Amino acid sequence: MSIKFKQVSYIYAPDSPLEKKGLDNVNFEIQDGSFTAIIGHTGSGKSTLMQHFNALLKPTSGQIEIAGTTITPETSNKNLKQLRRHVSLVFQFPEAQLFESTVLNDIAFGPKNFGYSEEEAKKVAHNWLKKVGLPEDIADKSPFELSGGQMRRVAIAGVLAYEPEILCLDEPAAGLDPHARKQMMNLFLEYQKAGHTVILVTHNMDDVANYADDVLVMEHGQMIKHDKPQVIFNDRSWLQQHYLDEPQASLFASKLTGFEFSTPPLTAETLVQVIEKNLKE
Amino acid sequence: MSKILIGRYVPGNSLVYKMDPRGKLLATIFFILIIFLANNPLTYAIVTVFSFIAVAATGLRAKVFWDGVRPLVWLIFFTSLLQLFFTVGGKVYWQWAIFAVTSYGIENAIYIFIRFTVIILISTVMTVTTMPLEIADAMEWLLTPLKLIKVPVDKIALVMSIALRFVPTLFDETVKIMNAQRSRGADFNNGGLITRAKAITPLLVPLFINSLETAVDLSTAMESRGYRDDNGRTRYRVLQWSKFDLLDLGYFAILIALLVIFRTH
Amino acid sequence: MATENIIKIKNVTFTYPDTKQPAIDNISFNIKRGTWTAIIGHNGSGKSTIIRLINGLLVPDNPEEASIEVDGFELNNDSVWDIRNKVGIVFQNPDNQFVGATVADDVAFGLENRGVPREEMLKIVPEAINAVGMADYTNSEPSSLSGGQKQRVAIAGIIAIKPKIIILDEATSMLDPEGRNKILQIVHQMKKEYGLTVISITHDIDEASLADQVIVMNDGKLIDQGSSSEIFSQTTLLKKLGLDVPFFEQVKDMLLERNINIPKTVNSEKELINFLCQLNSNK
Repeated sequence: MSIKFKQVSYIYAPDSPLEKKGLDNVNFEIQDGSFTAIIGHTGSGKSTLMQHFNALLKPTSGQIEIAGTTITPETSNKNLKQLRRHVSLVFQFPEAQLFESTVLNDIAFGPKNFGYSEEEAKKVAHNWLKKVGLPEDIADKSPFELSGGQMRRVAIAGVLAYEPEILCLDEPAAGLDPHARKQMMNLFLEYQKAGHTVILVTHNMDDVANYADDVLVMEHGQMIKHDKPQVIFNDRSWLQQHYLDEPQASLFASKLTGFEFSTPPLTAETLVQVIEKNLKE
Repeated sequence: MSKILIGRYVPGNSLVYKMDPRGKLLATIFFILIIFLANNPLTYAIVTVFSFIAVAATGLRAKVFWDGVRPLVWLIFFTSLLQLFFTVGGKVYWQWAIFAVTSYGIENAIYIFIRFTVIILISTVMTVTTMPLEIADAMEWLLTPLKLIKVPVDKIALVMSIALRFVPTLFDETVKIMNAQRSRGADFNNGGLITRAKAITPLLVPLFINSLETAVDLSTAMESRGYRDDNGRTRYRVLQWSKFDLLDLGYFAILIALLVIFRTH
Repeated sequence: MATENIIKIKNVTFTYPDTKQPAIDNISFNIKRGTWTAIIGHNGSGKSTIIRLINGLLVPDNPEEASIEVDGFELNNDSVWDIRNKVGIVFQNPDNQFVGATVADDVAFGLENRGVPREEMLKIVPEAINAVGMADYTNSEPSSLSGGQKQRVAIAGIIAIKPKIIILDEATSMLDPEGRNKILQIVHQMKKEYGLTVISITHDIDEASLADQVIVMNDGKLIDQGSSSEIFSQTTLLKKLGLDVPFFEQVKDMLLERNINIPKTVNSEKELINFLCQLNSNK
C-alpha cells in the first residue's frame, strides 16, 4: 500500500486572472515505512503537494492512491474521515491549532473525531502526552498556559494520538531551540521505526541527511528528482544549479583538499570516520 | 468569503479611478439622499440614465456590477412585490383577500425597484474603483469636524486602516487553522445547524487567541517604533483633490438640478 | 570614541507579573559602539526580555539599584522616547509588526510618529526602501509579500529613523534559509554604512558566529560573555544549556575523542580545515 501520484496537476484559481500552476504533472511512488523528505524553495509546490496527501486539496487532473483511497478530481468532500484518520498533516507552527480547555482534551480531540470512545480517547491522550516528553501534571492545565515548545508538543501529540499510518510534517521544528529540535526529530524517527510512514517537508538539509531515507525535490510545481539522500547529495553541481544547500558534513568535506571521499558524508559521524581513515592510511 | 470581507476593488485606470475618494464618497452619499427627490416617471428615468452613465464611466465589464447586485436580487424583488400587492389607491386590476394589484401599486413597485437597483449600482461604482484604504481615508476626512467635540478621529482612522490591513492575514490564518483541524478529523461541512455551530469552536478559539497575540505583538512593535498617545503625528499618505473631482461633484449637481426641476411639486 | 560603551546595563532584575521566578536575574553587561553582539540562550532564558528593558517597554523591578544607559542617556520616563529614537527593533513575526497598508506607509510609520514633515518623508521613505532592495514593491500590500520581504520592510522602517542601534529579536527564525541570508546580508551592509551597533537575539548558530561578542543566557542569568570563538569552543557548556554548537566544533570534539590531536589554537572552521589538510599531507 505505497503512496502513488499519477500525473497529478493542480491549478490555483483556474479561469481567473490569478490562475497559477501549483503542481505540474507530478508522478512518484513512496514506499510504506519510509522517511521521505520533500525539499525545494519557498513556492516550489511543497506545501501544495503536502495538502494533496489527505485531500485538503484535490488534483485538477490525475490521481492519487494513498492508504487504500483513490483521490481524483471528482472525489467528494464528504466521507474523507477514513482517509484523514490514516493520513495526517501537521502544519507549520501547529500550536496555533490548540483550542480545548485542557491539554488532555486537546490531544483527545482527534481520536474522538475518528471514533474513539471518550474513555479510549483520554487513555491514548495520556499515553501520547508522556511519549512526546511532556510532564504528566500538565494534563489538566490549559494549553495556553504552556511555553511555546510545550504547546508545539501538545499539538503534535494531538495528531500522533490516533496513530495515522502516514504522518506528513511541514517544518515541525521551526522556531524551536536546538535541543528541543533534536528531541522532536527523534520522536518522528521513532514513530517511523514503529512502522509508520513519515513525510517531512523541510528546508533543513541536515535533517534530510540525518533522518530521511528518501528525498523528493520540487521546483516550480514539478518534481525534478526522487532518490536516496546519498544520491541527491552526491551531485554537487546539480544541487548548485538548483540553488539547493548541502548538509554541513558534505560541505565541510568539500573544503578538505587531499582527502578521499567515495561519497559525500551526510552526517558528522561519517565525516569524522572518513577523516580518520584518510589520516591513518 | 474573501470578496465580501476585503471589498470588491477591481484594478483599473478609467476616469473614475482618478477621482479623489473623498469626492466619490460624498457623491455616493449625496446620490442616496437625492434619489428620494425623484417622484415621477421622468425623474426616475433621469436617475436611471445618470446611474448607467456612471457605471459606463468606470470602464469595467457589466459582470462586475451584476456581481454587486446579485446577492440582493431577492431582497429587491421581495420588496417590490410587497409594494405591488399592498399599495392601495388608483385603479384596481386584481384583488384577492388582502392582496390587490393597483395602478399605484405597479407604479410604486417599479419605483422601488429602480431606487434599490441604482443605489446598489452607484455604491458599487464607488467600491470597485476605490481601495478600502482610500475609503477609510475618505471617511476619516468626513469625520474631521467631530474633532471639535473631542472625538479621536485620528485614532479611529489608524484603527480602521490597521484592521483593513489585517483582513487578508486573518483570512489566511482562518484557512490554515481550518486545514489543521480538518486533518484532525473536524468536519465543517456536514451535519445540521447545531452540529455545525459546535464544529466551529475549534476554529474560533484559535483564531481569537491568535488575534490577541497579534494585537499584543503589534502594540509592542508600534510602541517601539515611537507611536505614542500624544498628537503631533504627521501624515505620509494624503489625499489630493484634482480637476477630475469637479467632474463627479458637478455631475451630481446637474442631477439635483434636473430632479428639482422635473419632479412633481 | 570607538571603544565607548553604547549600552551599559547594571544590576537589572525583572519579574513578569504573576510569576515568581525573575525573567532577568541581576544582569550587568556593556556593549561597545559599532560592534555586533549575539545573545543566545534557549527559549525562555530571558533574552527577549532584555531588549524590552533596553528600550523601556518593560521597567526593572529594582529601579533604585538598576541602571540602563543607552548612548549616554540614562533610561527613565523622560528619556524613553529619545532612547527609542536610537534603538530600532526587528521582531520575530513578520506580520505582527507591519503596521502600514503598503510598504511605503509602513516605512513612514516611525517618521509619522516623530512628526517628521511630509516633504522630508517623501525623500526619506524611498531612500530607505531602496536601501533594502524593495523599490519594486513600494506600493505593495503586506499580504503579497513573503516573510523575508516583510522583514526587509521592517529594517527599512528602522533605518528611516536613523537609529544608533538595531536589534534583531529572533528576526530570522520564521524565515526560510534564503530569506534569512538576505536579512543578515542587509543588516551587515547597514551596519557598515551607518556605523550601527547590532544586537541579535538568536538560535541560529551561523547568525551568532557573525558576532564580535556573544552573551550566553540561561534562566534569566548571564552565564558567559566573550568573543564568538571563546564562547563556541566551550562545547560542553553549550550542550548542557541545550544550545547548538557550531559544526566545526562538533567535528573537532569528535576527532579529539578519536585521539586525533588538534591544538587549542584551532578555533575556526578555516583553521580546522587547514590543520587537517596539513596533517593529511604530512602523514
